[in-house]
Amino acid sequence: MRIALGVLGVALGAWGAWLLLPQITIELLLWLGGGVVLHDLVIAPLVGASGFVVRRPSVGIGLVTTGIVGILAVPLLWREHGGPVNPGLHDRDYPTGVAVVLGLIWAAVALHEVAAHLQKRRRTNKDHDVPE
Amino acid sequence: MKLPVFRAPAHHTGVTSRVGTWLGITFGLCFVTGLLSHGVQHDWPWPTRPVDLYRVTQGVHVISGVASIPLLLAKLWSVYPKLFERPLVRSVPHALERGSILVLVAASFFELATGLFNAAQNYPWSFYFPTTHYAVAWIVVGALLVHIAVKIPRIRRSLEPASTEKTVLSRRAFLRTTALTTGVAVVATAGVTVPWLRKVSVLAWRSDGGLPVNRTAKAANVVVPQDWRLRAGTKSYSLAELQAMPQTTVELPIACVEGWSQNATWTGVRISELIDAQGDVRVESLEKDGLYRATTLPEAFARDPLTLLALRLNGEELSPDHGYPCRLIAPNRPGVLQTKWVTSLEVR
Repeated sequence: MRIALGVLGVALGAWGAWLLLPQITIELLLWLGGGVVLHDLVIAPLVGASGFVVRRPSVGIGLVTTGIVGILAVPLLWREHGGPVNPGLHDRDYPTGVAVVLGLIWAAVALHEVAAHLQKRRRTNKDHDVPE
Repeated sequence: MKLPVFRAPAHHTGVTSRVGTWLGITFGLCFVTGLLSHGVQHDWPWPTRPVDLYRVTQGVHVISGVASIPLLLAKLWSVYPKLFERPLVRSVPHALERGSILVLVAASFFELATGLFNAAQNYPWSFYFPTTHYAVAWIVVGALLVHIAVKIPRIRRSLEPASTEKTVLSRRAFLRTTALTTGVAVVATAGVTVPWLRKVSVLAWRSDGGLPVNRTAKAANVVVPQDWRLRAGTKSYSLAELQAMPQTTVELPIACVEGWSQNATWTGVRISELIDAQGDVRVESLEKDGLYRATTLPEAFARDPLTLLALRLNGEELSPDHGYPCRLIAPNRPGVLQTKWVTSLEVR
């Protein structure tokens, strides 16, 4: 079963490579390798470093979500090579849209932190209550 | 050199296997729907019903691709420590395994990055997107199957309940965060095809207006001649003659390969009333060039009572950008094959 799966995988991959072969250019190879380099040398170390700096889980979630929204927004905000804006396509106000989403994310983080802080204070107050 | 130590619960095999399973599902959906879309555009057999099928498959293609972005990053973060494992290679099988993973990761990033840019019709490269995206998809699937074949025993072991007893909370937190960011990514973009999300999806590559236009008459360099007539086999019709024929009204979506879709009401003459389709029909446009200047309408679609040469859109005469004087509208086909500015129909 495992062997069959592996053989099938090699065959499908070879078929893809065969299809890609006549289309290979330096630029294509850069796009193929670029993601790995960008991830291993930039994105993952950034995530790791943020783990040392950020202590609150909610802030970490906020950062990760911000990163994902940022990645999704790149092709919409950086349009140097973009096609023409057509009626109904790519014609949203993307900067405002991104700002609104990020605003919502960080408002949720702030609300969560405030709620957690209040809860903690209430609990400590309760601990200080002297039983009658 | 001192190698980094990773102790976070995100790097536990149980987490890797779970995120990997989710990613396997989104990649699987993406591959199958992508293959279908390739088939529709390369004359593979494709049904005329349900009318929304392509709309759904291509919507799933794009949404599962978007969902794969946070999932892939979470998966790679989960296994990031393995990058620092020494020795780099222990044996020939180990070298092959690492090599297959490098291929898998590189090809996956390529597919997600080029797909995302293409959905936004943004091309910061000079290679041809459809054929490269298609070829690399096979490489992803091949390398993924090899990867699964290698890892089956570990996946099985790690998904057993017993292995997740300790530090369950923080592992769950990582999984929940992954699910949450995936949800945000999907909601932020799915409005391209899901109508009720249209206002919410601020990163959708379409707006909340009327039916989008992928290629304007100006961009296509289309000029309608004064004496325009539609050639249909041996016959020909002026616009007034077409308007005088029995009109049919249908509700059909435009479903673009880039994932967006929208329903609209079309009025016009049935193709089957214009031409006796004893075979596939070649549809030609007034466009001077472009990949989709002429398309082939398979016989089953040409005979379908829902397939029209539309003259009106949502009750109004077609605007130049929507294909004036007439355009093809057929059920269950990608938008690029719904030829605009039609000038001739011919049985092949």
